[in-house]
Amino acid sequence: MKGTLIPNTDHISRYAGASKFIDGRVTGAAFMLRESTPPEDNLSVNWMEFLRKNSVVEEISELRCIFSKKMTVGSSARFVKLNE
Amino acid sequence: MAKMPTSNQISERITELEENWNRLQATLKDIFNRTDWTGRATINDLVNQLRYFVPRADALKIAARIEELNSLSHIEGDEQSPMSTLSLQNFISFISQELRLTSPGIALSYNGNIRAEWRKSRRQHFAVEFLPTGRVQFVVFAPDSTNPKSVDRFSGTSSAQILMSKVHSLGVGDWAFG
Repeated sequence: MKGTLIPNTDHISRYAGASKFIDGRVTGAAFMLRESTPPEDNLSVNWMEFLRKNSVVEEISELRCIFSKKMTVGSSARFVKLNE
Repeated sequence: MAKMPTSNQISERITELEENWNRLQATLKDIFNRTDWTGRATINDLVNQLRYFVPRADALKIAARIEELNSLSHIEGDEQSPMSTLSLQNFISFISQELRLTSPGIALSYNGNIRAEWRKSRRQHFAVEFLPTGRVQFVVFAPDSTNPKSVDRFSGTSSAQILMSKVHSLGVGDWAFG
Protein backbone atom coordinates (compact mmCIF):
# COMPACT_ATOMS: atom_id res chain seq x y z
CA MET A 1 0.00 0.00 0.00
CA LYS A 2 2.98 2.28 0.54
CA GLY A 3 3.13 4.85 -2.24
CA THR A 4 -0.43 4.15 -3.46
CA LEU A 5 -2.11 7.25 -4.87
CA ILE A 6 -5.35 8.01 -3.03
CA PRO A 7 -8.16 9.64 -5.07
CA ASN A 8 -8.78 13.27 -4.09
CA THR A 9 -12.37 12.44 -3.19
CA ASP A 10 -11.31 9.82 -0.62
CA HIS A 11 -10.26 10.31 3.01
CA ILE A 12 -7.35 9.40 5.22
CA SER A 13 -7.04 9.12 8.98
CA ARG A 14 -4.14 9.15 11.40
CA TYR A 15 -3.95 7.63 14.84
CA ALA A 16 -2.83 10.03 17.58
CA GLY A 17 -2.56 9.86 21.36
CA ALA A 18 -4.33 12.29 23.68
CA SER A 19 -1.17 14.36 24.14
CA LYS A 20 -1.60 15.60 20.55
CA PHE A 21 -4.93 17.30 21.25
CA ILE A 22 -5.82 20.62 22.86
CA ASP A 23 -9.40 20.87 24.11
CA GLY A 24 -10.40 18.11 21.69
CA ARG A 25 -8.81 19.80 18.66
CA VAL A 26 -5.96 18.02 16.95
CA THR A 27 -2.67 19.92 16.74
CA GLY A 28 0.20 19.84 14.31
CA ALA A 29 2.06 17.62 16.79
CA ALA A 30 -0.01 14.66 15.52
CA PHE A 31 1.38 15.08 12.03
CA MET A 32 5.08 14.91 12.83
CA LEU A 33 7.01 11.68 12.23
CA ARG A 34 6.78 9.26 15.15
CA GLU A 35 9.78 8.16 17.19
CA SER A 36 8.59 4.55 17.20
CA THR A 37 10.86 1.55 16.66
CA PRO A 38 11.67 1.64 13.82
CA PRO A 39 11.03 5.40 13.45
CA GLU A 40 8.57 6.52 10.79
CA ASP A 41 10.26 7.58 7.59
CA ASN A 42 6.95 8.65 6.08
CA LEU A 43 3.77 9.91 7.66
CA SER A 44 1.59 6.82 8.27
CA VAL A 45 -2.09 7.26 7.46
CA ASN A 46 -5.05 4.96 6.82
CA TRP A 47 -7.09 5.03 3.61
CA MET A 48 -10.66 5.05 4.89
CA GLU A 49 -12.52 4.03 1.70
CA PHE A 50 -10.19 1.04 1.29
CA LEU A 51 -11.91 -0.53 4.30
CA ARG A 52 -15.21 -0.66 2.33
CA LYS A 53 -17.42 0.15 5.31
CA ASN A 54 -20.76 1.94 5.31
CA SER A 55 -20.07 4.68 7.86
CA VAL A 56 -17.31 6.51 9.66
CA VAL A 57 -18.24 4.69 12.86
CA GLU A 58 -17.69 1.33 11.15
CA GLU A 59 -14.44 2.54 9.61
CA ILE A 60 -13.07 3.69 12.97
CA SER A 61 -14.20 0.48 14.62
CA GLU A 62 -12.37 -1.54 11.97
CA LEU A 63 -9.24 0.58 12.39
CA ARG A 64 -9.34 0.03 16.17
CA CYS A 65 -9.46 -3.74 15.52
CA ILE A 66 -6.54 -3.59 13.08
CA PHE A 67 -4.44 -1.38 15.38
CA SER A 68 -5.17 -3.39 18.50
CA LYS A 69 -3.58 -6.48 16.86
CA LYS A 70 -0.22 -4.75 16.65
CA MET A 71 -0.24 -2.24 19.52
CA THR A 72 -2.14 -1.05 22.58
CA VAL A 73 -4.78 1.42 21.43
CA GLY A 74 -5.08 4.03 24.18
CA SER A 75 -8.56 4.68 25.54
CA SER A 76 -8.05 8.41 25.07
CA ALA A 77 -6.31 8.12 21.67
CA ARG A 78 -8.21 9.11 18.54
CA PHE A 79 -8.30 8.62 14.80
CA VAL A 80 -8.25 11.95 12.99
CA LYS A 81 -10.09 11.96 9.66
CA LEU A 82 -8.78 14.31 6.99
CA ASN A 83 -9.94 15.69 3.65
CA GLU A 84 -13.46 16.54 4.76
CA MET B 1 -5.52 28.60 82.66
CA ALA B 2 -3.88 30.22 79.65
CA LYS B 3 -4.67 33.81 78.90
CA MET B 4 -6.53 34.52 75.67
CA PRO B 5 -4.32 36.58 73.34
CA THR B 6 -5.50 40.04 72.52
CA SER B 7 -6.45 40.98 69.00
CA ASN B 8 -3.24 43.02 68.79
CA GLN B 9 -1.17 39.97 69.72
CA ILE B 10 -2.97 37.82 67.13
CA SER B 11 -2.44 40.48 64.50
CA GLU B 12 1.29 40.74 65.34
CA ARG B 13 1.66 36.97 65.20
CA ILE B 14 -0.04 36.81 61.76
CA THR B 15 2.29 39.54 60.51
CA GLU B 16 5.28 37.63 61.85
CA LEU B 17 4.14 34.40 60.14
CA GLU B 18 3.54 36.25 56.87
CA GLU B 19 7.04 37.74 57.03
CA ASN B 20 8.54 34.29 57.69
CA TRP B 21 6.59 32.85 54.77
CA ASN B 22 7.73 35.64 52.45
CA ARG B 23 11.37 35.16 53.55
CA LEU B 24 11.11 31.38 52.96
CA GLN B 25 9.59 31.91 49.51
CA ALA B 26 12.30 34.44 48.60
CA THR B 27 15.01 32.02 49.74
CA LEU B 28 13.54 29.15 47.73
CA LYS B 29 13.18 31.38 44.68
CA ASP B 30 16.80 32.46 45.05
CA ILE B 31 17.92 28.83 45.25
CA PHE B 32 15.88 27.97 42.14
CA ASN B 33 17.30 30.93 40.22
CA ARG B 34 20.92 30.29 41.21
CA THR B 35 20.84 26.57 40.51
CA ASP B 36 21.97 25.33 37.13
CA TRP B 37 19.15 22.91 36.40
CA THR B 38 20.49 21.86 33.00
CA GLY B 39 20.25 18.12 32.71
CA ARG B 40 19.52 17.71 36.44
CA ALA B 41 16.04 18.97 37.10
CA THR B 42 13.18 16.52 36.99
CA ILE B 43 9.84 17.29 35.39
CA ASN B 44 8.45 17.58 38.91
CA ASP B 45 11.10 20.17 39.89
CA LEU B 46 10.27 22.26 36.84
CA VAL B 47 6.51 22.00 37.36
CA ASN B 48 7.01 23.25 40.93
CA GLN B 49 9.16 26.09 39.65
CA LEU B 50 6.35 27.00 37.27
CA ARG B 51 3.67 26.61 39.93
CA TYR B 52 5.32 28.69 42.65
CA PHE B 53 7.72 31.10 41.02
CA VAL B 54 6.44 32.12 37.59
CA PRO B 55 4.47 35.35 37.98
CA ARG B 56 1.60 34.46 35.68
CA ALA B 57 -2.07 34.25 36.57
CA ASP B 58 -2.30 31.00 34.58
CA ALA B 59 0.78 29.34 36.17
CA LEU B 60 -1.29 26.74 38.05
CA LYS B 61 -3.35 25.91 34.97
CA ILE B 62 -0.22 25.47 32.84
CA ALA B 63 1.45 23.36 35.56
CA ALA B 64 -1.59 21.07 35.70
CA ARG B 65 -1.54 20.64 31.92
CA ILE B 66 2.19 19.82 31.97
CA GLU B 67 1.57 17.16 34.63
CA GLU B 68 -1.26 15.72 32.52
CA LEU B 69 0.95 15.56 29.41
CA ASN B 70 3.79 14.02 31.41
CA SER B 71 1.43 11.25 32.58
CA LEU B 72 0.17 10.70 29.03
CA SER B 73 3.72 10.41 27.71
CA HIS B 74 4.23 7.34 29.90
CA ILE B 75 1.12 5.53 28.68
CA GLU B 76 1.09 6.35 24.98
CA GLY B 77 3.36 3.49 23.99
CA ASP B 78 6.77 3.28 22.38
CA GLU B 79 5.86 5.81 19.68
CA GLN B 80 5.94 8.54 22.36
CA SER B 81 9.17 9.67 24.02
CA PRO B 82 9.05 10.86 27.65
CA MET B 83 8.66 14.59 28.17
CA SER B 84 12.00 16.39 27.67
CA THR B 85 13.13 18.31 30.76
CA LEU B 86 15.25 20.63 28.61
CA SER B 87 12.32 21.41 26.32
CA LEU B 88 10.12 22.10 29.37
CA GLN B 89 12.83 24.34 30.84
CA ASN B 90 13.01 26.24 27.53
CA PHE B 91 9.21 26.66 27.56
CA ILE B 92 9.06 27.85 31.19
CA SER B 93 11.84 30.33 30.57
CA PHE B 94 9.94 31.66 27.52
CA ILE B 95 6.55 32.13 29.20
CA SER B 96 8.22 33.63 32.27
CA GLN B 97 9.65 36.38 30.07
CA GLU B 98 6.72 36.81 27.67
CA LEU B 99 4.12 37.81 30.21
CA ARG B 100 1.96 39.55 27.59
CA LEU B 101 1.15 36.21 25.98
CA THR B 102 -2.23 34.78 26.95
CA SER B 103 -2.59 31.26 28.26
CA PRO B 104 -1.40 28.81 25.59
CA GLY B 105 -2.86 25.49 24.56
CA ILE B 106 -0.17 22.88 25.14
CA ALA B 107 0.51 19.54 23.45
CA LEU B 108 3.46 17.17 23.34
CA SER B 109 5.43 16.25 20.23
CA TYR B 110 6.33 12.60 19.59
CA ASN B 111 9.91 13.31 20.63
CA GLY B 112 8.76 14.69 23.99
CA ASN B 113 9.02 18.41 23.26
CA ILE B 114 6.53 20.95 24.55
CA ARG B 115 4.40 22.49 21.82
CA ALA B 116 2.46 25.64 22.73
CA GLU B 117 -0.26 27.21 20.60
CA TRP B 118 -2.04 30.53 20.57
CA ARG B 119 -4.99 30.28 18.23
CA LYS B 120 -7.95 32.54 17.62
CA SER B 121 -9.15 31.06 14.34
CA ARG B 122 -7.88 29.09 11.35
CA ARG B 123 -6.41 32.34 10.07
CA GLN B 124 -4.82 33.46 13.34
CA HIS B 125 -2.58 30.71 14.60
CA PHE B 126 0.82 30.75 16.31
CA ALA B 127 2.45 27.46 17.35
CA VAL B 128 5.87 26.98 18.90
CA GLU B 129 7.79 23.77 19.59
CA PHE B 130 10.43 24.23 22.28
CA LEU B 131 13.56 22.31 21.41
CA PRO B 132 15.92 21.00 24.13
CA THR B 133 18.69 23.20 22.68
CA GLY B 134 16.98 26.47 23.70
CA ARG B 135 15.83 27.07 20.16
CA VAL B 136 12.27 26.89 18.82
CA GLN B 137 10.45 25.82 15.70
CA PHE B 138 7.45 27.97 14.96
CA VAL B 139 4.57 28.39 12.54
CA VAL B 140 2.35 31.43 12.06
CA PHE B 141 -0.89 31.74 10.08
CA ALA B 142 -1.90 35.39 9.81
CA PRO B 143 -4.36 37.36 7.68
CA ASP B 144 -2.80 39.02 4.65
CA SER B 145 -3.13 42.74 5.40
CA THR B 146 -3.34 43.56 1.68
CA ASN B 147 -5.97 40.92 0.95
CA PRO B 148 -8.12 39.95 3.95
CA LYS B 149 -9.41 36.81 2.17
CA SER B 150 -5.90 35.36 1.99
CA VAL B 151 -3.82 33.86 4.77
CA ASP B 152 -0.06 34.28 5.07
CA ARG B 153 1.87 31.27 6.37
CA PHE B 154 5.33 31.48 7.90
CA SER B 155 7.49 28.92 9.62
CA GLY B 156 11.07 28.69 10.78
CA THR B 157 13.49 28.17 13.62
CA SER B 158 14.80 30.78 16.01
CA SER B 159 16.23 31.32 19.45
CA ALA B 160 13.42 31.35 22.04
CA GLN B 161 14.77 34.61 23.47
CA ILE B 162 14.18 36.59 20.27
CA LEU B 163 11.20 34.70 18.85
CA MET B 164 8.60 37.34 19.73
CA SER B 165 10.59 40.13 18.13
CA LYS B 166 10.83 37.99 14.97
CA VAL B 167 7.08 37.28 14.73
CA HIS B 168 5.87 40.68 15.96
CA SER B 169 5.62 42.12 12.45
CA LEU B 170 3.35 39.21 11.46
CA GLY B 171 0.66 40.51 13.81
CA VAL B 172 0.89 37.65 16.31
CA GLY B 173 0.32 40.12 19.15
CA ASP B 174 -3.15 40.88 17.73
CA TRP B 175 -4.46 37.55 18.99
CA ALA B 176 -1.77 36.08 21.25
CA PHE B 177 -1.40 39.03 23.64
CA GLY B 178 -3.90 39.57 26.42
